[in-house]
Amino acid sequence: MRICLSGMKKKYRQRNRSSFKKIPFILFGLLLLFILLSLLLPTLIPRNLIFIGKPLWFLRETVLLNLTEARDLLRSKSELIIKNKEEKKEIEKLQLQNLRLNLLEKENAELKSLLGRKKSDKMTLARVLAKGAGSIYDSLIIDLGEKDVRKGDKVFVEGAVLVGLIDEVFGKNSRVKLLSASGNSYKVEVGLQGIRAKATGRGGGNFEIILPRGVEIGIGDEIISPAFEGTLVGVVDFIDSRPQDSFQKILFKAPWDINQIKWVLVERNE
Amino acid sequence: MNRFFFNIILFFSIFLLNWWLFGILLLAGFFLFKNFYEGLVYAAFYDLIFTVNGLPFYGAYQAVIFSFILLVLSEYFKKYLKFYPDNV
Repeated sequence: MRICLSGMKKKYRQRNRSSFKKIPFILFGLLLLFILLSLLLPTLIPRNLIFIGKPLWFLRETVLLNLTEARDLLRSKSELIIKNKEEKKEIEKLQLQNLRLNLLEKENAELKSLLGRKKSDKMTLARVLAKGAGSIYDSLIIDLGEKDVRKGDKVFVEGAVLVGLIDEVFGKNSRVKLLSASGNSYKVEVGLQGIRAKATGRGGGNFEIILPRGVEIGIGDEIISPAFEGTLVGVVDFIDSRPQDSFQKILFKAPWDINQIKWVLVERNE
Repeated sequence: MNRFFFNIILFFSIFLLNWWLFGILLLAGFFLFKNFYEGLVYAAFYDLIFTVNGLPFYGAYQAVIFSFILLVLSEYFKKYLKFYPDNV
């Protein structure tokens, strides 16, 4: 049987070029709608995204924890013994410091009480869902919402070190803006002399202060913030002082490691 | 790589990976696929979750702005890279 092909025309499916040209306009239209929604209803989209993200963040923490434990199993016994001894020494040192701090804290509370300033007992524990390491904005997502916190509430680590403030509340979760977020600036007092300065956030738990070169500051000096009732903000880590400059740059970091924060305490503003 | 599966991976990377890993995946998306506009949407999702109040526009939507620039640059440079066919 012969098949005659001479009369047959090859047909190709034509690409619908007009629909391809519409795609950028459609997507930009969606993006514009997105931006409008974020301006008019600023918490609608983040609230739903955080709702989706919450189980994923828990899953990530569980996986990382299991991986860390598995890694520790592979360490040699001698290495673990040495590390154990070092940590025991560190614990003893910290226990002594803790005793002294407890006494000072008690004295501080009594003095504040005499001056009519009582410390709030309304501290709520919150779990950190997403940490600063995953964000370029120096923010944390915690699992307390509008029933427990409000915008502007202070957030502490281990009860005494101020980490940041509640920036936005989304239903059952909130976002914390860290003190060290770029562009943030606070009035602080440095060291035992209480030298007044302005600290500017540099991100990732780091701050900088600019002071005249003659001012005596030492590494390890504590920095407190009178704007937040004298709470500890950080300790001096590095001093950049050159003879040709009139000013010295002091870099300090918060005593907390942003990657290690798992729990925070939120103080409700009265 | 299938664009649909890449989109799923990129969406979940917003929550599971660090910002720079998410950025690398986004960049890969702009070069792997033609007109990867959905990358802008994922960057906007990232900004909406993590950005803080009080920043100017260029500070509050950094991921979106950088993604837009990367999208434009990638579409422009792809024409000059020999790995891409002429119709990209």
